[in-house]
Amino acid sequence: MSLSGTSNVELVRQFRSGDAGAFDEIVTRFQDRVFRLACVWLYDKQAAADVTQEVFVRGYKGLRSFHFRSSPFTWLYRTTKNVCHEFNRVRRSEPLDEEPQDPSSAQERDVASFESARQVRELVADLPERQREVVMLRIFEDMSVTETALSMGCREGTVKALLHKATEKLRTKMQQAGIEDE
Amino acid sequence: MSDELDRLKRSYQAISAPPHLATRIKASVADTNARTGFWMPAAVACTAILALL
Repeated sequence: MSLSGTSNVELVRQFRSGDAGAFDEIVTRFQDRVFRLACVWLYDKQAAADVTQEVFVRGYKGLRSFHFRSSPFTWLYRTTKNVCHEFNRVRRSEPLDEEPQDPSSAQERDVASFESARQVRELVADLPERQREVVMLRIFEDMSVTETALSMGCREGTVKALLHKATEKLRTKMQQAGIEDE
Repeated sequence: MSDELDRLKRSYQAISAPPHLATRIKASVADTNARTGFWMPAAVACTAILALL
C-alpha cells in the first residue's frame, strides 16, 4: 500500500505498530530536510550525509517512544541539532557560527547543490544561533510560529521577536551583497 | 515575505540529499537493528535448552 498520502503523525503511528515500510517512507519524506539543516550547520556535504544517517538511526529507536506532543519533524530537528553539535565536538571543528578553514575544498565542490548551501550559509552565518534557527525553521521550513517555538523550546513571542531581528539583518545583508530583484 | 527572503528560501530548498543516501540510511538502520536484536534469539535458545535440562 502506498504511504505517500499518509500524514506524518499517522506514519509514525504505523511505524510504532511495526510497519517497516512506514519507516522507509519517513526516511524518504524527511531526508532532504534533515540533510539541508546539517549542510547549513556543518558546511560539509560528507559530514551532513553522515549526520543525516545518524539522525535516522536514532529515529528508528527514538520514534518508537514518540509521545506526539510535537510534530515528528520537530523531533527530527532537535535530534539533527544535537548530532551536529556532537559531530562538531568530535571533529574538534569550529563552533557552528564560524566558517570552515577551507570552504572551497574538492569535497565541497563536488556537491551539486553546494552553491545553494554556500549562499545560504554565507547569509545566515553572521546571525546569532537562535536567530539562525528561527530563520531556518520559520522561513525556510515553513513551520508555524507554534511549531517553531516547540522545536526551539521557547515561547511564541520569543520566536516573533527573534524573527523580526533576523529578517531585518538578513535584508540589510542581502542588499549590501547586491542580492536584489532586478 | 520579501523577494530577497523568498529567493534565499528557494536557495535553501534547492539543497537536496545525495542520491542513494536513503538506501545507505535504510541499510544502516537494518544493520543496527540486526546487531541489537542478535542477543534475543540467542537468549531464547539458551532458556529453552536450560528448560529442557
